[in-house]
Amino acid sequence: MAGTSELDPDSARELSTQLALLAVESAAPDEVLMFEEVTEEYFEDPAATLTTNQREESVGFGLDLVLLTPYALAVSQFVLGFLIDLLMDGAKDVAKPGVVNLIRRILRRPGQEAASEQVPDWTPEQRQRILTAATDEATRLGLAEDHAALLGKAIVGALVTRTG
Amino acid sequence: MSQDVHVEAAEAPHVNVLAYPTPTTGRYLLFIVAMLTSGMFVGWWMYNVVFGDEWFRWFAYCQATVPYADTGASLGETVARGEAARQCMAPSERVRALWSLAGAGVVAAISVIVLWLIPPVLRRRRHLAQPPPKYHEVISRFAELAREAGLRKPPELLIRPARASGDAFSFGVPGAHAVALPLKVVGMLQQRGAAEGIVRHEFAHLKHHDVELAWLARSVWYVLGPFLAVPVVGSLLLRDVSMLVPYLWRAALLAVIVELVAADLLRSREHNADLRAAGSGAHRQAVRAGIKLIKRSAPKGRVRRLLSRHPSAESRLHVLTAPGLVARTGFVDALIAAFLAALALPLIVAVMSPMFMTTGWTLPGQAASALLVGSLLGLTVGFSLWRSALMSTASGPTEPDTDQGRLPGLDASSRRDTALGVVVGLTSGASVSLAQTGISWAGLDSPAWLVIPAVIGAGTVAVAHSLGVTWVPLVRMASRPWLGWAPALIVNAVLFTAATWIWSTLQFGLDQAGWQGTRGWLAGGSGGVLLSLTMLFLAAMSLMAIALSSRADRCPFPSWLYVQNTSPRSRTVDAESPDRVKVGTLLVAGAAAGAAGGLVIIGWLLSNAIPTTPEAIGVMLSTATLICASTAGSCGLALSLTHPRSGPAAALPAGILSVLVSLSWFLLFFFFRGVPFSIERVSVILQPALGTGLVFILVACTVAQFPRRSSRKRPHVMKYRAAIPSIVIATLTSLVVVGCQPSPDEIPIDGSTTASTAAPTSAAPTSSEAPPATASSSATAPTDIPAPAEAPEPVVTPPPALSPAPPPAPEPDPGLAEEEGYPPRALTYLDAYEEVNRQIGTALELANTDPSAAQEHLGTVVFPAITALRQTAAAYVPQAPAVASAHNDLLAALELTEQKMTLFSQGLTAQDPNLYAEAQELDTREMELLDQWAAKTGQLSQ
Repeated sequence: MAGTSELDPDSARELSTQLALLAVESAAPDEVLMFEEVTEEYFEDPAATLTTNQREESVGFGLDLVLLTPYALAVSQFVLGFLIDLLMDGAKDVAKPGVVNLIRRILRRPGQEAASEQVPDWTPEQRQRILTAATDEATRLGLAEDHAALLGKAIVGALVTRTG
Repeated sequence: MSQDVHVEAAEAPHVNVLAYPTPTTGRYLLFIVAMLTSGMFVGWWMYNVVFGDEWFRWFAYCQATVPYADTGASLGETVARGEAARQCMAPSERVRALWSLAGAGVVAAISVIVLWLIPPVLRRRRHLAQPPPKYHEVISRFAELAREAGLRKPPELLIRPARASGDAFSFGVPGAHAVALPLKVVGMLQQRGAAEGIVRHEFAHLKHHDVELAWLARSVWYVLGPFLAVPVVGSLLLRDVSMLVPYLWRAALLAVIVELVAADLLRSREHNADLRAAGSGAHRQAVRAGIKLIKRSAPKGRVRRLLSRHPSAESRLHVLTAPGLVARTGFVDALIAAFLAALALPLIVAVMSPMFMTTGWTLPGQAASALLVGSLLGLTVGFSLWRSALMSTASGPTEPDTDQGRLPGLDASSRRDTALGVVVGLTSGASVSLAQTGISWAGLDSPAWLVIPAVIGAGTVAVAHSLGVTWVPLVRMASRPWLGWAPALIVNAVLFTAATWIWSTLQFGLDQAGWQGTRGWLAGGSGGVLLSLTMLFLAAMSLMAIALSSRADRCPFPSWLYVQNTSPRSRTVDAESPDRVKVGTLLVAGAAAGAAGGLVIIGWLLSNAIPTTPEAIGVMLSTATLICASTAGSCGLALSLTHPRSGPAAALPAGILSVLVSLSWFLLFFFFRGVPFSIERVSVILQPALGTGLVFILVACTVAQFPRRSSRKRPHVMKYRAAIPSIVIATLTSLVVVGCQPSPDEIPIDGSTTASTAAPTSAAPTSSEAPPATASSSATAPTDIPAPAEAPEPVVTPPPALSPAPPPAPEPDPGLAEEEGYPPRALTYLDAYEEVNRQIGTALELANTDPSAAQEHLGTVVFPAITALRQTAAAYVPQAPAVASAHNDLLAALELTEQKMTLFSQGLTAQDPNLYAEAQELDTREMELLDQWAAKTGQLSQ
């Protein structure tokens, strides 16, 4: 997957963060409050934030809750690369900066959207491929299957609601 | 939500389990006490390292100065010797006890410091931070919930970052608590729901003092762990590994047990925190939602489950639905409490007893230990049984009536499980205790006597359970919760303190003094007036409950016993139960047993001549006492067999009645023979019979648990069905007592101490566990049964006063002061003499390798030391003949020392074996003189 490797780091971070935020808003709205801090933490040490803490605390509740945000960020990074490949495969004549701009337009919030700008329509097959890729990646990172499915749908939803 | 609560209330009432204090607090205290007492062992070990030689000097001195009781000595002489030996060792033992206390003190002090150090460490390790201002909504909600939870000072809110996310937990020190929340919960707290349940649960921990208890227990272990390594390192450095193996396995086992117990206590508190967080039911849904967030599956494997700090989510949800379940008690709870108590008891006794040695009465040391450990055991095991009985009855049956409509918490198997837990805990704890390191198994000459705490413990559980069941109806009349639980706390503290006292002294008595001494101990009341008062108190509490239960049955359970909005029940579950003992039943059973015992007494008295000698009178009194006490035990057995649940409690008042009835027969016999007894004289039998009656009831209640009963309801055969077994059992046991009575010759009586009152005691002067030579009133049991006025025989000796008058004030005796002052002076001579002996030993060693060096050592060290000692001793000129006689022996011995070494020196120069042989002869004579000196000095100290 060539994807994000040829993207400048700032752009990659900006786009994946934007996609993750859109997914978290949908799948885990209670995490929006601390999204910024968790994102900072994630980019400082991705592995640490993706490690599940199973320690039983004395005088605790017994929880082993998982934050979705770090996984959303990680999966978004992966999906971003996947999208670039997908778009470039579909439109050979489009230069990479064009694809990036296209994705940027896709991820713009409704209020930011310019009427004149065109965004692609995803075919059902493309949607399914994105969903599968996102879900598999989330599962591979250790997220429980139900949470992985939820995150995959949220990511696809974030892309679709702005294009279709 | 309120509708849901209403539906729940209509379906099943939710008992307010938290209206009663939780027994886990008592278990926590036991846990901390047990760990602190393990610190005592380390203090004791360090004393041995630093002052071991000094202690052995004392020991040698006491062995030499306190004359041995001859093989054929009377029990009284043996007792007196043991007491004299303890008195002699008192100063040294007291210092050792202080070192032990210092060991515990050091562990406690450092633990408190560690407790204060833990919060900053946790903050750093868990990367906890205060929430940024943008979380203001969450912060204010958190504070609002803290107010609702009734926390005077809201705890600090800390946030776990994403990389350290996980559980929500509480920590801190008194007055400065904090709650750490994972980011996920912080986010969820923006809305009502599961997060509120989680936060309320943590606040419940704070309100319940779980933070202090849990972290203090953990702090003590953090300190004790390395502290326990001190003896290991010390032994290796000192190259003395004799104690290493028995110590290491005990310490290792202790470490494992600490982890298991700590986890169990944390699990127990989680249920309480859930219930407290659910409050009156309004927040139950939030807590339930919080618990449902737990994805962690129940640990696989028994070990993992035992080490888990939280119960499974399923069991927590179950308890929220049926709170009465949390009050259930059983094997594990009892095992933990009993184990910790048995672990701590011998160490506490070893420290407490020397503290009271100089009083000449070691009973307070034993009693204080029993009070500390026994009361904690009562507050855990006994109180749990009471709470379980109440809550399961108040909950109502959750299953179809199986056996008298009981919930699982009340049935016989639960009682038996608790009894089994106590039995296993007491026996294993006594064996594992660090106090037994380096000595015999469980500190006993015969480990078979471990059965004593097992028997008494199981009987105590049966009585506690029965008292709890009997008291349930009275709680209906309690307008406040404390009116329900305060009697439970008091009764169980008293009962288990008495039980602890009984098994510890009885066990030691059997182990050290055998059946004969123990028989005397039992006939003397098993420890004096306090045990008799305990019997009276427990019987009064039982009788009150039985008498008032019918009236109380008409009342509904009080509203405080239920969670708000759930309807109180007005059930009268026990009213028609065939198991409930009525006042008439216990009166008939007691009177029947007493009458049977009395008849045996009469028969026995008629078949024997009236005793005339003090020895024979002592035997008669002790036999009568034991028969009276055995009738109480017989009542206990009969009532427990016929009324398994309420019988043991009813046996207490019934037992007192049986003692009174059988004693009445005894008194009537002498009354009609023209020998009336005064009240004081009656008390000589009555008081010990009551105390020992309690012992026999506890044993009987254990025996009664063995028969397995059918779960089907038994037909109601007859109203006073306990009477016949009472008569049969009382007759049989009384006959056994008569059959086992010793002849007067078998119980030699020494001076003022009768066989019936002599406490079993250690002959070893070092033992600090020796039960005291009793100083109870029964120690002056009269030997003054006057003969019938008209009878020509027996010949009556002039009756001494019941309580002997103090001896007349002695004439001023200048020699007396000198006699009393000589033993301490002798100790200094002994020290100096031992130093001389050490130098002689050095010279002897040198003689084998370097004769010239040996000669030099003799000339420069040994002879000057002998001369100095002789001059010092000769400078003292005693006036009192007894002192002079002893001191002259010392001077003669020292003269022989000098002559012996002179011959040895000459033999060394001439290499003449004959001179060595002459020196050896002088050495033998010298030793004889020294023994003579020690014996005479010992007599001066009497």
